[in-house]
Amino acid sequence: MGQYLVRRLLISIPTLLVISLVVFAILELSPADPVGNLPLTIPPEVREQIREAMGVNDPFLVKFAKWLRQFMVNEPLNIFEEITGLNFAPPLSLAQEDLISTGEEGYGELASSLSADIQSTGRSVILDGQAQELFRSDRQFFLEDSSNSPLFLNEFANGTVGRELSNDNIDVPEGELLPLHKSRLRYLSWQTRSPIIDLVIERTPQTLWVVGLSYLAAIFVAVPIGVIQAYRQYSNFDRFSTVFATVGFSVPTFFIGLLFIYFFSVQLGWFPSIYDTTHVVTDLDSFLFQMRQSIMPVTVLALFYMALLSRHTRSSMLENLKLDYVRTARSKGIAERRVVGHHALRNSLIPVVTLIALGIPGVFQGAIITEQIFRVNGLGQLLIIAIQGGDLPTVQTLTFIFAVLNVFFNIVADVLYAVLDPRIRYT
Amino acid sequence: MKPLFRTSRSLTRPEESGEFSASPRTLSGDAWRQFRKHKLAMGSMGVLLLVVLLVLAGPLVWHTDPEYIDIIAAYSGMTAEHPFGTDNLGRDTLARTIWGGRVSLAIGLTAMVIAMSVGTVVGCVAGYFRRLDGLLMRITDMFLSLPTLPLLLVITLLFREPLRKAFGPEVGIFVLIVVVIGMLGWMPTARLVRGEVLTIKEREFVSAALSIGSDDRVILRSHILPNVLSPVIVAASFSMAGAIITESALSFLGLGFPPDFPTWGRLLFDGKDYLTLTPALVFWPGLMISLTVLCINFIGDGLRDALDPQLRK
Repeated sequence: MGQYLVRRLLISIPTLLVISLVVFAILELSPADPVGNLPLTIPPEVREQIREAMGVNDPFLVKFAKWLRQFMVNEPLNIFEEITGLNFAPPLSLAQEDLISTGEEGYGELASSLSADIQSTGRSVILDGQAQELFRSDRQFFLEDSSNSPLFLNEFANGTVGRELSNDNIDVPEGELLPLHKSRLRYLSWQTRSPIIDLVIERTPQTLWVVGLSYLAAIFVAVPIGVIQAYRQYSNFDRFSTVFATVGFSVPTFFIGLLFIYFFSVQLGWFPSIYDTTHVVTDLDSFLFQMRQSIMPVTVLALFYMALLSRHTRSSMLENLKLDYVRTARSKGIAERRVVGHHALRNSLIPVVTLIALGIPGVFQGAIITEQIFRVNGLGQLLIIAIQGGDLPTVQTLTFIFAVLNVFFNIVADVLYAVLDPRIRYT
Repeated sequence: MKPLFRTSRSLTRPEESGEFSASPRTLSGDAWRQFRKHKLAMGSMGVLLLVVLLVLAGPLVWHTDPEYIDIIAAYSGMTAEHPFGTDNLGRDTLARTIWGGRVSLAIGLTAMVIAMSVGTVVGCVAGYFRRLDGLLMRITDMFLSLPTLPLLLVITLLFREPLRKAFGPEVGIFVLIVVVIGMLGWMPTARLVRGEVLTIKEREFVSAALSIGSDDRVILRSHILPNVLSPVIVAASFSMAGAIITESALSFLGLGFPPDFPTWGRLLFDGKDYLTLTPALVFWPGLMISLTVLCINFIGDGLRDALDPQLRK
């Protein structure tokens, strides 16, 4: 088993690499200009220098390697530190020539004068008056650039400056220490100027809440329905549920969502049509409100998977009920309840459990649409906002996260299958 | 000598009538006979034909221009003049639904054809040529672990402009959406076809064809392909339903066709902000999507039962 797990994990590495390449290449081949939203006052030759400094003109493979390092090493570490509160970033050690080599005039000059004035002492950077003056006078300019150029930052100050500056607390008195608790490169959003990982962490709970609740609801409704359907094959209940299931995954979620809003919010006024994202659960009342506002998004998202899972439970159960061991159990005089609920169900659930694992990335993707209908500020909404605003780094990160979810739950499904079904032996 | 089995009525009937007038039973005839027993699938076929008729022949009967703006009649409910109501600019929803249906159905059909062609070719080649099998299946797995919807959104965002320049605003987006949906949807078919080809190529008729010196192309085209066709047909119906939903979802997120170009999803997207004023704006296009997809899915179910010889009674 352990050997299988290791092998399975090893196989997923090339998959992940190719997916990264695809995600990276799509954005790399796109005609978007990374310095496109800099102020128009910047002369073209400076613009060209900025591109040069950002590494826009680097060979494709160099850029991809840097990107990989960022996504496979830096960002996971950032997430880990963010969640645990630990900090094991290496102390800042910047070679002076790295900093100065970025250019001659214009932006390069700014960068080099600034870097010359930045002395790193452990986790802190001292800014003298000149550097702060530069920050203040050219703040917009500097911020724009630093957040527009993740790869440039890597060469510039390992991301530290960009991180601190985006926090709006740069008005430090002259000569004082600017505390830096991150000395690792962070991928910044073009829209909000903040690290994308922070945005992701901020929005994950809402998505998890909606996705988790609806998936649980779908499982707990679909499995019993599927079992009863199979047990009473061709009964009215079976017929009705089969048709209902087909309706469930034929009617698009956005249409069901709008119908729900129209009937339950507009006409009946039972549930709020817009998810209140600022709502905080403190007591029973606020918890009830949280449930009330979650009902519609959760139901809409759950319906599709309910239909899918009940179908599969039914067919898997039907297959098992025909098998000899069920007949044997019955002939031994075991109560029908136990035969169905214990003997047949447990075997029928093996493929269903795998399917449940495989479906999880799909629910996250389904949440993109559901969150858009009910204005839930989750990951899906972040993706849509980023796409509408042309915020390529955020789009790239989120697409990559969705891809990682896919790969991860593929592994989970395979391993679950191997664990649950003793007939399957992987060597 | 008496034949061992003489159960079929079709054998005796022509003898009684004195001539062999009954046409021979064919595979497709059998499938059709089986399909007709599936009441839901037959009903769906009827409804789908109605939808297609409405969409294709609708403009001949309903002359209203879908782009005609009549501000005075804006937010009209369902009246004789505007059976499906009007939108915020007073454009007629019935006319827009008809034209939108053309686009949605065309996209579903084209994306399905692309997905099925790629899937069948990849599946046949992978199943038949052992040397290419590993590589092609790895590629298929890779595509399967791509996140469909996010990628779709990203690609339409990034390549909208260049394609618009190359083909014009509408055709450009059409090509983009169709190709992307097709290229992200061929994998299940490829796996299915590969599995079928793997078993079929061990059968006697393939060995026979090989022994008389047929080359691989002939064997693939005239011996293997016809035999994998039935699962492909079933997959095609589900693929088309999926493509229609995907395109609508894309338009619903505001990332599909340009605003003045109605598709069913786009109509939903435009109508959702006026839900309290005129729910008809959302209701009719949504109903059309749902009906079409539902019917195609039911037809797919019926086809699966009809084309699977093991299920045939």
